[in-house]
Amino acid sequence: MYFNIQRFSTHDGDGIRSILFLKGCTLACSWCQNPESRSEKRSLLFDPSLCLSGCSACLEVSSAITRDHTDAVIINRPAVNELYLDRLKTVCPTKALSVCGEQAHTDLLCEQLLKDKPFYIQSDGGVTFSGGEPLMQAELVRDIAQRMHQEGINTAVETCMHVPWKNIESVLPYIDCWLTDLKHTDAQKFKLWAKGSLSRIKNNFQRLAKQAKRLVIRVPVVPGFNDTRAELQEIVDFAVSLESCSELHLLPYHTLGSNKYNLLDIKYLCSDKPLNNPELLADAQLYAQNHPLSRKQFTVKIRG
Amino acid sequence: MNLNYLAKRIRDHKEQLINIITPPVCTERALAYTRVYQENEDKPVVVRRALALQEHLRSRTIWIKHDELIIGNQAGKVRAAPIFPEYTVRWLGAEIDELADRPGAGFAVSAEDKENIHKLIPYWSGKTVQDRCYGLFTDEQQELLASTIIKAEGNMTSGDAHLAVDNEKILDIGLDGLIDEVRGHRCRIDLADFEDLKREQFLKSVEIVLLAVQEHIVRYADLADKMALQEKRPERLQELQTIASNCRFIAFNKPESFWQALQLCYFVQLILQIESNGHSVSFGRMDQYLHSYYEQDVKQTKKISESFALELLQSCWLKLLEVNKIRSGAHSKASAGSPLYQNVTIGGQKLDKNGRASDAVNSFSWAILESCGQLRSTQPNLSVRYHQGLNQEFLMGCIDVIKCGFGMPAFNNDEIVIPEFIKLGVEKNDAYNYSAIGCIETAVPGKWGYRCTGMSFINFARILLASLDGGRDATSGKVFLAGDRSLAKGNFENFEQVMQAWSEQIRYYTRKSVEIDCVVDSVLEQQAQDIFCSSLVDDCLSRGKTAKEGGAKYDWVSGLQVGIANLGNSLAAVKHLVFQEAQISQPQLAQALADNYSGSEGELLRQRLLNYAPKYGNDDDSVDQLISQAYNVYINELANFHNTRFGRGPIGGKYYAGTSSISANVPFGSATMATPDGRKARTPLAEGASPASGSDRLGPTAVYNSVAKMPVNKILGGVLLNQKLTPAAVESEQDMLKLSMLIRTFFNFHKGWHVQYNIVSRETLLAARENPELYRDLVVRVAGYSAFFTALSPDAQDDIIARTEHKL
Repeated sequence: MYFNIQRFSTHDGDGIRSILFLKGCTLACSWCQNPESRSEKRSLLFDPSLCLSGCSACLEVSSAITRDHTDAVIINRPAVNELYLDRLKTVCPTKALSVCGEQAHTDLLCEQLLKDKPFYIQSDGGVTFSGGEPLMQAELVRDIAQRMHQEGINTAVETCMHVPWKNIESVLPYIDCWLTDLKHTDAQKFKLWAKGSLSRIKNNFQRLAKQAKRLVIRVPVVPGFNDTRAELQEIVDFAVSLESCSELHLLPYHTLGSNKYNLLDIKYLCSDKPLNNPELLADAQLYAQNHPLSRKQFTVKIRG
Repeated sequence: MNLNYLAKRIRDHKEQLINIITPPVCTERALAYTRVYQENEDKPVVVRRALALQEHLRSRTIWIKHDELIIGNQAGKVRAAPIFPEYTVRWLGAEIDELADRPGAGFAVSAEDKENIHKLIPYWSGKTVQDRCYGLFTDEQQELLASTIIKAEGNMTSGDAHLAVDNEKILDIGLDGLIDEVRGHRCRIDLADFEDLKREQFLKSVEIVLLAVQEHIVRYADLADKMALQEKRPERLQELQTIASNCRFIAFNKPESFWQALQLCYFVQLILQIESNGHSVSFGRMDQYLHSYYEQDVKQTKKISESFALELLQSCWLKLLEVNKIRSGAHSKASAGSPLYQNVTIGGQKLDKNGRASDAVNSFSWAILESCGQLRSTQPNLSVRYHQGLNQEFLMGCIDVIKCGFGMPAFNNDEIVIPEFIKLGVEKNDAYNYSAIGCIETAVPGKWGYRCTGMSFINFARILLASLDGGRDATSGKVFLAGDRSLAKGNFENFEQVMQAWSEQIRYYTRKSVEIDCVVDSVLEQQAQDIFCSSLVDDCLSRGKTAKEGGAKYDWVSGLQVGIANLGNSLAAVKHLVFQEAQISQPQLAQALADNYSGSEGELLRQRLLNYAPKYGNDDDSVDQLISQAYNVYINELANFHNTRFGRGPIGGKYYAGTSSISANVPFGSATMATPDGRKARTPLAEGASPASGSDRLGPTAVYNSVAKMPVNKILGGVLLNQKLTPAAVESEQDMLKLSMLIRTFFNFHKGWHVQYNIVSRETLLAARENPELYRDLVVRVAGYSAFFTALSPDAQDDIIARTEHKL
């Protein structure tokens, strides 16, 4: 299942790229800016600002949707089944109501991704797999990445590393650049904020570092979670200890996806303010550059 | 390049010019021409025109102001627009008293000028180009023009222009040399021969005009000398003396210094725009023909400094900004902002003696680029010729200038223009020397007749509506060519019949547009010869013919087709929603169009058309190919026609398609009822070959892929693509590099014709927040990534707006 192909992406990997966003994630980070990607099933998004009063197109195909006395659309989400989702896909004239998630077909996706091949080739760009957690669908990623390699196109994956090692291993030969998340080095805090196992991630890192063609570590710097000197320094320590890791990107927390929580009718629990602490990031950058284990080619970028 | 510097004199001059909101008009030319025409009724029109220009150049007010370094004024007052009564007085009589209140293109007309204009109208009525055109038009042609489905107002109310003359030649031989050449041709005239008698009238006129131009330049020398006597500031005194001696020299001789060469080019540009008010008078490849002067004075002898050379250029650019043109109220809407489109082209390729091509970028290309980047004015319209081997550093320099946010330079692509020109029959040397003319259209400077684009305009969207309604024009209710089928009757049996109806209608209108051009061209040929202009276009002198009589070496023209994306999107909506999926019935769509999608039912249907039918600009074959298919009917039909010079000398003499429809998409839209793409009545049509506003949602690569599917190699009048970017999208060196890669791919691989970038302002972002449906293609740099502006939450949008404001 995938939910978007974003063309002309210029900030996730080298050159001009297309990003294939796959659906479903093994973590549940509270700061996630792509909440529609978490479920591995289709999701229903509703934007009341686009809804036309007097329209009953969605009500006619699904009893899970009603209008209340103020004419506002009420969605009984637990009652929205697969049949309703099929019907709702093309029913809303303004797309106030939209279904996020499409069945993935390797051939069709490759065809879409290859449309920008000339741009990838000219700019040393390529295709990036993202999500959700793309390696939950390792077979699909492997098939597409293999095809891209046959076409001479560079591939990258954005992963949280919270997947079985065999998934990583199966795509390894076909991925040129690993954009991997390391969110924290404390297992308990990680568990609390991201609902996952840090030891699984660390183990994967140790094994991946030996084999990845290019390894970039990306750190979302989130207020209250890891925005202290000590926490960032520990992350840097871990990153420089990995032989093949050449780059570290510090990504300051932003809230640009928070409106999507409203569309999904779920509460947003993380801070409503973006991180505004350039000194902290600069400090971490400096720490990494002067790190005793740091190698010549090791670079630290803010915002990636 | 230092783009954040502007010399004080240039800054002050620019400041003064841009603060003239309602410029005056100037009646000096109109009075002189009227006087001379009246006194010389017995003479051939061409001679009369030579004498009129001579008299005007002798008697008109000349001035030197603003401490300018390049001199020469078009009108009596700064930025005043001269009146050209021989083309039209119709709209003048009706509109002259209310000109000041006209939105956006107002003029302040003094009581004296009003009186002058009213006085000369009776003489010209019935004699102007426009009146004589109407004397020739059939009733049907007149009705078509009145309907505005076809528009040719600009063609009969002003001169032609849309060309670049042979500046290289005038620099090479000087005015004396040119006069010698004319005299040489006159020696060989046989007055016992009918054709030669006609040729002699033209050549005689050229000689009168060239001598008058020399005299005129001497007048400027005298003025500068006189001003020098009064001048107290030693530096300015010296400048005035140099200006005077330069003028005295270049009035006769070929220039020897950079300053002289630039001044001579400007005088040529000026006289062209005094002789005729045709716009898009372009300089051609200035970086090539002025390079040796620049190199000699700035780099070798260091006679002048680099920064002074930039001031000279900028002084010239400000003189271009002073040139003004007054258009009728209706016509000014199609040319929003009174543009003159005086193009300067840089970059591209050059050929060596063995015919091998190499990158033509030189030190002077950089100087021109820098001068424009510093000045940030609307003139000149700067174009860069792109080719695969274009120096990457230069391309990045262009992006630096684009970042300044004034939409320049635009790019044209050698990789398509040169091979397609050669296929047409243009000689290799000439094809490699092409330049942009006006906006995006291209021709060979000094060898190509008028209007490589700029013939009549056709409203594709209205013709589609007629195709869907038995030939009835939705705006006027008139039927010009009746058809059997209509949506209202529901008697289209399948979509092929819709395409058939389009074919029948568009072929009819194509023929009519050429018929109208034929009338206009024949009247212009007889009534409004451009003498000075023709003297600088090969092979007018040797053939003894004006450009309009077939004097030019090459002569292809193109009209402008407006509403291309609306045509394709409408066809796609009808095909998918009415015929393939049968979601909407034919009468239902007809009714919704007639009602302009009113009521909630209408709006629901409109939303469905907007959201569930494919749109051009998203790399979707199902609509992109429909555009090609529909456009090709026009292109193939057009191939059956000639222009009035066919078989009379030039190579070509034919038409090709063109999409450089300036701002005509706005007035054409306001005359177009609701269309099946979900567009409401009277709102703008899509501009050029760009996607309809807000309909391209997949970013620039998808847009390029869509545009490239058009039959670009047959639209040699230009395939115009505008793209919007926020300032933050080209913020870092890395972003700029990626933009350069985008441009390279579009041109190398997709063989795109043209692209230009608008770095959008805070105002646009605010408007985008208010009307997101119109700004869907707006890409903004958010943080470490880019996003579509309208896809962000309102708060995030506010954030971006605030940041942009901070930056600008």
